[in-house]
Amino acid sequence: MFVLERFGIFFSNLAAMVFDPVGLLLLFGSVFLGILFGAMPGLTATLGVALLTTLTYGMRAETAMIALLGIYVGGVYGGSYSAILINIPGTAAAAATSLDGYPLACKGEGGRALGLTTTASAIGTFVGMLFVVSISPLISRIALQFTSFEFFLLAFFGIIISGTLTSPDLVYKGWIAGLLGLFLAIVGRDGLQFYPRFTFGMPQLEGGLEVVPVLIGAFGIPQIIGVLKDRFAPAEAKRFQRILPEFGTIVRRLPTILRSALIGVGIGAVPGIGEDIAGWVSYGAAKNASKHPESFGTGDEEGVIASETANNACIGGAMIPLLNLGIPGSPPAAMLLGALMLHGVNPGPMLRFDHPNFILQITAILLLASFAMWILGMLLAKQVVKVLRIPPPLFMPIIAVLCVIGSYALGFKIFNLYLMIPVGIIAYFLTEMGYPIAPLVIGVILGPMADQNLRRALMVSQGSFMPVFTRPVALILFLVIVLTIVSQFPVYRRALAALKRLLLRNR
Amino acid sequence: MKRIAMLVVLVALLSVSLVFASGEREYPSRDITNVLVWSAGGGTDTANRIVMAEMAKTLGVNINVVNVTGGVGGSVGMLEAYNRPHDGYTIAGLSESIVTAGVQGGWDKRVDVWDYYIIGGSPLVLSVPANSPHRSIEDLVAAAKSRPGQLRASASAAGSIHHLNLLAFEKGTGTSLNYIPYDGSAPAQNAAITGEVEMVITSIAEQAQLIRAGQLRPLGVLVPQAFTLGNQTIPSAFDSVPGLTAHLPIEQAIGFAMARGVPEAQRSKIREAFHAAMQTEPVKNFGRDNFYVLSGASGDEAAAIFDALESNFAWTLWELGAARVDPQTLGIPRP
Amino acid sequence: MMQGQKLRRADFVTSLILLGFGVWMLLEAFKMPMRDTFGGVQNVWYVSPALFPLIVSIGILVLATVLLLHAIRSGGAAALVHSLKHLSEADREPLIRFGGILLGLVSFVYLYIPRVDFFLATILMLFYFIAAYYLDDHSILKRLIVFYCAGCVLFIVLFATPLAGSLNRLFAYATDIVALLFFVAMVVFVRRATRGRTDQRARIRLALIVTFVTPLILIPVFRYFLRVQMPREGGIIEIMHLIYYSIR
Repeated sequence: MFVLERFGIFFSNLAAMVFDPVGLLLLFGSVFLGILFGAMPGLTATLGVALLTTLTYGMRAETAMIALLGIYVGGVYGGSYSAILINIPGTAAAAATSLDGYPLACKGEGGRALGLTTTASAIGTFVGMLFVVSISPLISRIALQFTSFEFFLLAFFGIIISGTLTSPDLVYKGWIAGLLGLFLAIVGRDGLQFYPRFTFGMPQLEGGLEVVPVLIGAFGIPQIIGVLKDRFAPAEAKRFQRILPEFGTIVRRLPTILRSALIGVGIGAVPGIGEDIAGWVSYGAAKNASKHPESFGTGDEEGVIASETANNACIGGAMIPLLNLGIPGSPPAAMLLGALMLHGVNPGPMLRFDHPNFILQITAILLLASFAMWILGMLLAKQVVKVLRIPPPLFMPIIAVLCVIGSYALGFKIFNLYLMIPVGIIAYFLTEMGYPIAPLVIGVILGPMADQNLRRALMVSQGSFMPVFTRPVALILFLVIVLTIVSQFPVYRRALAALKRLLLRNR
Repeated sequence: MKRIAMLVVLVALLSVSLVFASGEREYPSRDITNVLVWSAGGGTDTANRIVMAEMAKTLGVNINVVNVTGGVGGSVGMLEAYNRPHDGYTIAGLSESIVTAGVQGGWDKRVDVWDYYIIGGSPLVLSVPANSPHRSIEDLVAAAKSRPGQLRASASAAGSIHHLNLLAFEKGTGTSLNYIPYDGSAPAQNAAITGEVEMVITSIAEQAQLIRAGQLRPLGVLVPQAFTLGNQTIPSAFDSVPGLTAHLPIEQAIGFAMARGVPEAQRSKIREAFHAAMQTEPVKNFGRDNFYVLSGASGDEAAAIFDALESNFAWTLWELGAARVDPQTLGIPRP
Repeated sequence: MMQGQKLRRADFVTSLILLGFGVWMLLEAFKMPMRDTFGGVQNVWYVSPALFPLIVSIGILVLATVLLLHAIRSGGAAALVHSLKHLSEADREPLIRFGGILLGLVSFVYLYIPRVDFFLATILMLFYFIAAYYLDDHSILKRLIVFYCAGCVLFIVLFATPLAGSLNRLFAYATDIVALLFFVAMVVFVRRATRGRTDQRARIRLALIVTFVTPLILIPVFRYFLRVQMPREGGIIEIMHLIYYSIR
């Protein structure tokens, strides 16, 4: 009954918004702006939400939320454009998308890949919204099961994934790249005791390395060098290609889409981590579940769908702890929290009493935003693909300027540029020598989380690892990690096959 | 030929711009930038954004808030703001914790080079999880004394105002706690709700929702006056432990600053706009809804507050061994 | 990506570098506080800031050893010795192309962005890259690299000595004007190098259009819409300000 009533209020909210032309215009405008933000290397959804917070100061809270959620949804999705077309993920959330999206674009199927990600992102946002509207109090209770041990295990799981990513040469080169990423994550003052590690006395290093300059350096610069030096045309676009994915393809991929959406909501709901990690975890899970994991990394549409569904589903997930506990579930959500407070809405457990319909309004906006994103995405994809027809030596220097100004715009630090170039040059050589570059980025994103939470967890348990086995969520995470590691060995697959044969024979 | 013509035009334009630039126009004639040293969405950020939006109405130009984070005690943002021309078009959005930048090696002078404008702050409160057996400060102190160094207490990172209050609480009550640092107030409170820690110190603004929902039980505020939150009154911790008055209160001071090098004429314009903004409805509502105690201090009054904070923070960190630079070399007096 | 023996040779070298890096990291980690209290946090081995660096450095050392063994077994070390004896035979063209890219990126980020008006820094870098790589003529590329390098040296001399400071005091934006002159000189240089080749002329025109249009769109969008203060706002951006604030 309760759920039905909620849906009733939800749809009346929805109808009110659909018939409000100003609101719709604002929604489409901000989603479009978000896509631009996401697609530009360096500009992130967080920055977009921060910008619009100032611009929407004078509006009513509900109207402002349309703009803010619109740019959030668009920003997370927009990262896939540059990730697929030029192999430079516009945001960390889209880094996993480039693994299979770019090979697809190289095969001339960039348009199809964009169509798939657009649809997957829309479905992801939609699923995330369903969770907000239906069982968000339940999920926020589960999110409260996350103590330091769980955070550590989650980060560790993400790092483990880096070993399972396809390496073009020796398998353990992925691990080496991951460890180098973890080293970069260590640089700076440590989060627990504030002890400076590997800072060489440079004040700019004390705050640690930021993810965006490393991401752009590691993905963008090797691509610029490679294209200019070796004269290869990065990806090409077929003259006539279908953008709208076939209905059959979506139905066939439905299990992947649903799994990824659930992972996205789950990761989003865990306080403090968000889209950046959701894409990777979902990609890793899709690869593990796939019947032919070897095709991942060579242009498998499942990989693209997995990461894009998850990072957009994450938005709904991140709203759950934000609205129910007042704890932001992701970095852009942290900015949303500030924006809400500016408008006199204080998110938290009392929100349901202070502003009874607010959560439903948010979900209605999310639903509309996912539609707006899908429509805009379908219209844009066809045009964006044409970018690939520009001769690369003319195009790449412009990309270089964008990379530079993008990583500078994040905090106005020229030092970020000084950092980006050496990281990029090293990444170029690593790529040339057959090291996958994605694990390095995962290491930088997850390193601080793993480091601090492991030590904090041990501090709380006074050096004991027992909580891993006594806390239910920790135990589940631990088992998933063990399974992931074991499944890497051929022994496991052989054992599984043997088991299957045995069972069949007995029947 | 075309190139040379273009060059001539450009040089001419440059010289024109020089003429314009030298001509005095009334301040402020272009947008002002607020370089905010903490990340977007936090308390300092939110308070600054709302006050800037109100000040912009008085000043007639936009004030853009940009978050320049990193370093120690917001040093990267402070340097960025301080190194820009002292022409009145740069403001630094900051809070009390910037006074630690000096002793941590991120800022090579005292912080009195800034002219401060204090928006206010939220009183700090000591809370325990809802299912905790401790019902009062006395209970908690007794429990802490029975297991010295064992009672797990959370606060945001080492050297933060929450940490300093925790230290002062330890000194004032003669207890020793097991301080577990977190990345910020939200994770610290989260740890208290999940039961990972047994007590937490953050501001009322940050805890209000959790207290009202009954997920955290406030034991006492760390200021002399009791605080009324909705229909419950949180007593002052000073009532039950008189020894605290020697070490507390150390209060939040959220606001912004302008370099003292900026001509007084321009600073006084900003001061007027600031005082006007503090009287507006949106700012007052913001303070009330979010449990801030608004201050509005500026000039000498604000300078005295930051002086006191600086010597307190700097020497406490130095005694903890967490400071890199001797406060003496910076000329910071002992508290 | 490299192939075959060349890759194994590179593996051999990287594994040695990684071993050295791992040892250095291990030594640095041992200098961190292990058990004494730091920053007011009670310290035990598992709380030490050294814990994570130790794990990572040991991981690097183990994997680097595995890589080293693999490289030696598959003939990487031998290939290195072989290639050292036959150094001069390497194909120089890719090397020059690579050097040219590095020159453009490094000078842009480390030399021009911090010191020259961002608009000028951008058009310098864009025109250099497009002329060098879009014209696709190896002899122009080589000569342009030398020319651009000479310009960079000029700026290094200018900024490393007190010369730039005193010039700018004498006449505002003097260094920006020098940068503009350098840009004009580069355009003239490229046009002379392609004299009499109509196909290249059309490309140069396109290069110039891209060079100017890109920053003319990007800078105002970032400066006035995203409110991003440019790294260095000199003469040209000052003109943009004038125009923006007078039409607003």
